[in-house]
Amino acid sequence: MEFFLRQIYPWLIEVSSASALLPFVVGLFLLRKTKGVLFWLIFTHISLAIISESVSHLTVYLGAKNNIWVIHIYTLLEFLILSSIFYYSFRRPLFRKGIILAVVLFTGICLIDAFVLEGITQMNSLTKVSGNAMLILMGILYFYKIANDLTVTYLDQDPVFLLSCGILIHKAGTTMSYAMFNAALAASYDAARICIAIMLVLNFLYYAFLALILKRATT
Amino acid sequence: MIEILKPVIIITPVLLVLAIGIILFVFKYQRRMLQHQEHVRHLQEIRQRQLLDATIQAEEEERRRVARDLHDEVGAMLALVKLNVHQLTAQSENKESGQQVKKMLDDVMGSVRQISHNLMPVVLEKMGLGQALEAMRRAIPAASGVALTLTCNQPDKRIEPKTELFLYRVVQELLNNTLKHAQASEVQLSLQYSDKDLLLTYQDNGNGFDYNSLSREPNSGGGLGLMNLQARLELLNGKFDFFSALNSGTKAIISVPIS
Repeated sequence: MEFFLRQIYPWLIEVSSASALLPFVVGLFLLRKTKGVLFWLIFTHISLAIISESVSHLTVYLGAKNNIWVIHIYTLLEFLILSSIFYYSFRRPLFRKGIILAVVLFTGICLIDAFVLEGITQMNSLTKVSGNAMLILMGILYFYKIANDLTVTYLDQDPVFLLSCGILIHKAGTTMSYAMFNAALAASYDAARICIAIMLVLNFLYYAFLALILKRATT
Repeated sequence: MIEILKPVIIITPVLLVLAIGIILFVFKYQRRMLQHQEHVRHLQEIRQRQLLDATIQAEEEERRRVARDLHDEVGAMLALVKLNVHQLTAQSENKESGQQVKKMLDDVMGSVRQISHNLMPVVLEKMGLGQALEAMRRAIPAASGVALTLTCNQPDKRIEPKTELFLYRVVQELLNNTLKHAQASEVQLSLQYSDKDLLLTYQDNGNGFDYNSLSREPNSGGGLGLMNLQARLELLNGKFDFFSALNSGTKAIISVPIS
């Protein structure tokens, strides 16, 4: 464990931070090929991740001791973009209304968590867990849609299906780490680092997967 | 440290396995649903083919009945009328008008015979497609100005009666179109048997028409005859290629399996 935290963990942080650049570069190459709304939404999602990483690093560079406020803002904006993708993908009014309701509810949870419950300097565990649960639900709703509509013959060609898979794995994998982060940090820094390491590995996989999703969103 | 991370270490893999399980389930379920949909589509196609086959069979049966009635009843009655007219003419002093009536009756009997023959060609049943087409060639009225050239590598060869009848109807439809609309002077009809297939080629030197625009508008009604031919040939698992353009005549190439 000691070896992991001293040798691999710093390297993992760098790789995971840089991994968002992979889909971003792929997206830049594909920019001219597409004018689809879906592509732009996914590309905005990636751009937001890059901006969030950059601002986090800049905050630390400028000497601030806490940059968790960036995660608060990023969580809300990421949820809005991913919800827009699902909103755009569903046709049934019931699902669309459900997504609007989820966005309103989540915005409320975000604000309450940031200013009333955990605070802007603490990890937004409650927001993360509730947001992840809602996004997983949207992903499963999309699975339900494609399993019944049968309009998509090859699932691996459907960008929203791939995005739903990515979200399902990423959010299912990171939810517990976010939920336990504040408790782990209170116990020890190393425990918190283990939680972060899980998030970093899954972030890396998620961003690599987003590159493929962007490619599919152009065709 | 390990104690505080226990929920993360236990629940995270469980959630990941669940997530992957859901994805795999969706993949498999969707594949199964697609296969089911394909199976239903296949069954519907078979049912449609059976319905079409039954409709065409019923149509042919009705034609056969009308042809038989025309030949046996109307033809016999006309022959009787002609006999009576002959007797009346022999007793009458005005023989000329009697002769005129007899001439008109001959024309009517000829027409009835021709219609009956077109509805159900006896030659086709008795002697096969090659001979039936030869009879069709001879039956083209000289006044139409159309000369039909028929070439056949095995004129006496017999194949399945249904195939013979379908192909006869196809040629009948194509020839009717030529006589009605094409203003052609020559028609070439070729019938080439091989071990597995029968290749029928029909070509005229008439006006032709814009087939591409007609096929783009299938609901226009203009291509109903051709669609009918296509449907018949699909029942035989045959291939139907049709070419026509303005002032370029018309060509149809039909291939059906006979083995």
